Amino acid sequence: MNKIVVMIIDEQPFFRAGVRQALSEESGFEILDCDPT
Amino acid sequence: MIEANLPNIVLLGSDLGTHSGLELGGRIARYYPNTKVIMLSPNPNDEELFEVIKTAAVACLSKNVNTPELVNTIKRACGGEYPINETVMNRPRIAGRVLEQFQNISTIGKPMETVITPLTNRETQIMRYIADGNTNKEIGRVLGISEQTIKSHVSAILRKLNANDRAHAVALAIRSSWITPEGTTQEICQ
Repeated sequence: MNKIVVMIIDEQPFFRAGVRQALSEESGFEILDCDPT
Repeated sequence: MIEANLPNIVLLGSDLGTHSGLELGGRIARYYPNTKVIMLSPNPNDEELFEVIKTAAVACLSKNVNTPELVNTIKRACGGEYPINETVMNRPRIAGRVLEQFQNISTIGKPMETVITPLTNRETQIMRYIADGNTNKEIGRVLGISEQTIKSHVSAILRKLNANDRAHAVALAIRSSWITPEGTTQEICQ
């Protein structure tokens, strides 16, 4: 089954890390993140 | 970054009091229609939610959302649902404003889909040449750019329109009135 590719875009590194951590505990997601600034 | 990875979902966290996040969300939704945008706001109020709706985001959640709700919203958005609809229906004032905007657009006299096109000006221009039966090589020669660049534009067009091939893309573009069925490239060449 294809993974859902999720990109987290937020200025705050802590927020990106928190969302990444939360989603990484779920199966079926490939997670990317970036700072929009 | 979006272009390189083409994510299914973008979780766009932003202070919706500023317009940079909203503008970015709108641009992603417009230029990458296969990428669904979910806005994450510290505490979305009615005014912010109304602005989010205008960006074509599929959902708007609080930054304090719990993991099960976030995961559920992502999965629903991937399945083609618009969880933002429920948020709107739970806020009658917002629903009223959305309806009012819809009515205003309808009175312009054009179908809704002609108001917004996901294609850039260059892609629309190339679509017109394709509709007139030109090859990539011919289009490149007329526009003074390489055949490879035209190929890249055509790939972007097919992806944005979810089209199977060039003919399908032309049909979709004409149906949505982004280009006209009559030949239009002659006047561009002149």
